[in-house]
Amino acid sequence: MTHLAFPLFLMISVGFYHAQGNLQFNQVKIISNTDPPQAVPAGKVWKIESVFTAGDQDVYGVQTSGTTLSLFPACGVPSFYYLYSGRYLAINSIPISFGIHSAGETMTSLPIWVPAGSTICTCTNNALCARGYSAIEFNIIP
Amino acid sequence: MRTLFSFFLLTWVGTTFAQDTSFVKSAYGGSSLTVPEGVSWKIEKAYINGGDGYNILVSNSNFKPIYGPGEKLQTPYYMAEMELLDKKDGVFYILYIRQQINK
Repeated sequence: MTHLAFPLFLMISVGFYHAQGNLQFNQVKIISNTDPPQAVPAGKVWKIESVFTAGDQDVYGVQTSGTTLSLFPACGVPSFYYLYSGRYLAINSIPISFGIHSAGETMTSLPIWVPAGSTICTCTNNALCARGYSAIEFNIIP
Repeated sequence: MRTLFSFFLLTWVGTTFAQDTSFVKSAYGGSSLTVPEGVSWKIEKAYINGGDGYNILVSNSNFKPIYGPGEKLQTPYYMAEMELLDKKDGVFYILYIRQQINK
């Protein structure tokens, strides 16, 4: 038992003391879908806590037919076949839909951690774009 | 005689030039640590961890500037920085402490 206890203690200690990083709160950001693309600065990390809906809608159904659209031209995101409605953001050129599907499932769970160097793009299509989002910015400290 | 002198010299050097030490202690929120007799503790920095893969630096204003011998260092059950954690129960403190020997 003793020879098992020490490695277990060591693993727990290493887990706590050498976690992936130490963070310091810096600021809260609210980004509108009319703001330019946002790049996460070096030495920071963003935690997207909330994505704002268009109007009061939070539940989205599947469209009867999909549409190929270019929603994020400012970020160079290629045209994408949008089958699901929702509140879209693009993170590192990947369109991501937020909201609740009509079947009851959350399309993308929050929060989302966004590392330094990433780009977050918003769009302004009334049917498919998020109105904005809120994020907490942390400093990465040794 | 020489041995006795060396002993006193070493003792004097040890107590006069004793250096502060720094170490790390961990404790759950709401628990306490007792400062040993003959020393004082100063919190250099403190982090909280909710069991996720990251620690959040907390303000030193959550603690007293100095904890004297025998004093209990109480880790707050709640502080504002805990709102930055996804899980707020079972929060763990990681305390970087500077220990000073009282002369």
